[in-house]
Amino acid sequence: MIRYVRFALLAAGLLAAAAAGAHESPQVLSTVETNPRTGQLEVIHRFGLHDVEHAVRRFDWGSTDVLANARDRQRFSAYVQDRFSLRIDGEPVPLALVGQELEGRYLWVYQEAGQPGPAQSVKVINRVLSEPPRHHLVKVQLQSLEGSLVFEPGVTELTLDQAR
Amino acid sequence: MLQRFTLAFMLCLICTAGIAAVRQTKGDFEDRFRQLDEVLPTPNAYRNAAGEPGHEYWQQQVDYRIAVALDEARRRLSGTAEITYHNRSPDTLRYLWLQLDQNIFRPDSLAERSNAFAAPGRRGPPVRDAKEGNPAGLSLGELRRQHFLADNEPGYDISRVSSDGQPLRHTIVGTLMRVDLKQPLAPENATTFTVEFAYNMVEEDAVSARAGYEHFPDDEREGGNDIFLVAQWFPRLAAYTDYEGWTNKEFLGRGEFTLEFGNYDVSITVPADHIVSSTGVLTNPGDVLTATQRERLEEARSADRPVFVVTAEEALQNEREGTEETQTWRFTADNVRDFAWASSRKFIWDAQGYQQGGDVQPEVLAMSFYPKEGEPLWSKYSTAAVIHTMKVYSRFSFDYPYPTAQSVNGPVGGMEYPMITFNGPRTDLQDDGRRTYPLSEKRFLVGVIIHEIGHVYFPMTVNSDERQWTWIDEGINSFLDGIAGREWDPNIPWGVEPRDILEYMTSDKQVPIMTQSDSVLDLGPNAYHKPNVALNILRETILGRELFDFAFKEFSRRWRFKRPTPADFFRTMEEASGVDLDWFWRGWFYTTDHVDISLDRVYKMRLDTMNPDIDFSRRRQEEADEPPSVFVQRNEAEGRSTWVEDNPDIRDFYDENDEFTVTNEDRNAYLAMLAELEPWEMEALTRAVREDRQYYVLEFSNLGGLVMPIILKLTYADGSTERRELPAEIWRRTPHAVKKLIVTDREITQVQVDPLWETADADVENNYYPRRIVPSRIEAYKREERTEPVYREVMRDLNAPLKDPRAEEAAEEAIEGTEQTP
Repeated sequence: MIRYVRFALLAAGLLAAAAAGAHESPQVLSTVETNPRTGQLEVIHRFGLHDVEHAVRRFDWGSTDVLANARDRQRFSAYVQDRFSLRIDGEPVPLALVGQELEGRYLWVYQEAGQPGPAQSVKVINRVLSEPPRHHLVKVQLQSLEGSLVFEPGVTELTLDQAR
Repeated sequence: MLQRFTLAFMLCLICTAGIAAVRQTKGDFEDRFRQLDEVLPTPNAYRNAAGEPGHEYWQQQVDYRIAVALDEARRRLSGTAEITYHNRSPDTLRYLWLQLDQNIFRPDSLAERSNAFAAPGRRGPPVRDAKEGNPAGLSLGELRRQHFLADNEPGYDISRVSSDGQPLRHTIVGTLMRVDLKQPLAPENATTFTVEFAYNMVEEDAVSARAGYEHFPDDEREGGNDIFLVAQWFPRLAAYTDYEGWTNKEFLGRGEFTLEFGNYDVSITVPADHIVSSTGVLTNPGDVLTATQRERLEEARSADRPVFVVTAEEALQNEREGTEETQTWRFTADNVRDFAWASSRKFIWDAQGYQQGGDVQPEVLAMSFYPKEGEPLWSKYSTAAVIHTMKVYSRFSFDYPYPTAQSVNGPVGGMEYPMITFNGPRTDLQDDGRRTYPLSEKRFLVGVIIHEIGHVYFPMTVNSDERQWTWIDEGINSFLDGIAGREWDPNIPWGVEPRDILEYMTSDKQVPIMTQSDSVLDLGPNAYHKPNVALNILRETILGRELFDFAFKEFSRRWRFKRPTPADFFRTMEEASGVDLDWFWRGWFYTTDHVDISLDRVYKMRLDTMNPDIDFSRRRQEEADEPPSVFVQRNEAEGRSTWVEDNPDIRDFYDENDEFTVTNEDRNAYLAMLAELEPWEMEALTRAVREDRQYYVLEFSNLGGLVMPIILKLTYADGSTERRELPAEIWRRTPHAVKKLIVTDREITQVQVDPLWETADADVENNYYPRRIVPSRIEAYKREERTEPVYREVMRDLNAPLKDPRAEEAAEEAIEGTEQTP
């Protein structure tokens, strides 16, 4: 007896697969940390500039130049704000977009929220740059919870909890 | 009885085999400097203990004569390969193994069957597991991949394997084929056999391969055009090695190749209007190039800028038409480990001779092939980047060893083969017909070409085993492409800085660098970034450029056209630099430890002079410098008088002489002590007292586990600074915590560990003494004033009323006049 489960299409409208080869695939890094000095929860995202350029070309944003044009960077950070969120112990975390900046070969995007209480679990909802296939490491370092989550292509939600 | 004894003995051996040969069974001491004796393979006559090819080093040679034809309409390749296998090994071979990489795309391949759904490191388009209430998902890209593979019958048709006209028994095992020889092949003998093969090419954009075709449906020619990138296309002999025997580990998609060097003679039949770029040298230009093209190629040899062999206009004209005719391009290549080519009627072609001098290959023809979709980026920078790469890499290794170096644009992001590389950057067509590109695409083009041409050195010439270890060629190549990039334009942020890998190195989602390619969890940071950073640290911080560059060049020289393993690299770098690096390889390549050295405490000491007239006076001052008792201070504040103050008439000896008063007894003891000193003791004491230097003890703890040198920046009271380096060996007996005595002439006011962030220390905050608050990125960001136009408050300011400064001035004067009126 085969049990049928519901199937969904991921990222409809995105057709091309990433070109493979002996060069690096896109890497995104995010950290979710409490800052003891400010009492804020800080979320810091690091994107390779080239990965961002390639991704936004697929967004139907018209002509974009993330490196040269601050408005495109601002637009990209709004996109991140829209697609990266947290739930701590089931409650949504009201992340505010702080800003973005270029440094080295990276584009950094910042979000923050008030300090959470002792957390049992953190769910990361992440639909940032899901195409082309990217590797997205999210490191969580809260007072009561610490660990890493890796978003493989197609994965949009992962939970870190104390049982891990 | 004897039997039973033997059995027991064998079991005993089995039991102990899985246990490390040397173990610490008491206490928790961990020897981070233990030599890699048990870890590295035992040196032998083929690979010696110095990391050099041994006196009986051998490797096989395989020569190919291939005739292949491209059926453009069916996107199918058919060919016949005559293969001559030279057995240089000391072993007699009864069968040969060949790689059939195209079989990876077959639905029954091990790669496809073991391609776990939504698993870590999965290649190809996204899929999603059903989780936490969300349904499972497939991307359209994944559906396209599945549809393509279902519709196109990928994989090889091996129609015949024969020798001297007689069929040879052959057995296909996934991406491998065993060919049984008629006669055992003895050492120093050769055998020749023929394989007839064909396969349907894959569409690169559909299946994420390393080669394939790309279709351009919008070209003017009816039906559009294709670019064909052809690699891993013929049955290639698997390597037979001294360290692994046949390297016949199935191709799973991640671990690339290791192959044998040999000589190639390849005839490629394609539509007559195609331009072919290939490994090797074109031997029949008179048959396939026009007189004009041949003249332009000749002109290119001595040009100082690329010369168009096929111009953009000619390529555009070419791609509008088409032909039923075919022609055959013939290429030969000597001493290469692989052979790839590309073909299209869309190609613009430019070339420039690189006069590198030397005896090996004085002239190299650098060439680029690209469609209009790559312009105007490619004609400006591709061939220039190819030549720049050779200039830099050769300085670190050896002269570029081949007659051509090519960069071809197609659907592959970046891939390397001998003398030819596939590189992906493209430009964007605007509504007005112009093609533009963002700055980052230019950086991508230069960066990827440097990287892929760099691979012609590593691993195409220094022939490491990519199937086993991705890092040895990708790590070395990333290290060198960072150097070449910085020498292209230092204003562009090339390369990977130690700080860039901190989050990866502190995460729990990683494996040691020394992990077989297919098992690595996250290939980018593992095989590219971390070894790149490790080699940078080795060069800039641990060995210094002179020692590192000498050792690295020696490694390159030793293993040029040979097959090194990681152990050969580790041993050579150590032997040639003269520095024990076992701790470094162990920590960075065999563990997942990270660097976090904390400076926990600094305390200051002053040498006693032994002279009571000096020392007691100092003690008195030290006590006076201590803060007075809060209790006493508050009593004074309350105006409470003491008994002593109330009774000034009662005084004794001790009211005039405190406990630090020096007595003659003290002085006599001091003089007696001096009298008993040996002359050298007296000299040491006298000098130390005279110099009165500052003594500091610094206490460090190793929180990350990885032992590393401790680099110190000392800041003195006069504002000057000094750099001191404590070698990693300071940790050898106490790897978790260590103290160091620092002696200076001046007072130290601050100590900082790793001030230039060169050791990948994960926590900067604990590097300061006294501690300093290091703001988070967000804190620092908020402090900076935003001056870019994007931060203007346009929405707020847009509808502010317009003001006339002259009218305002007049109004202000009127007000002032009113105020002055009484």
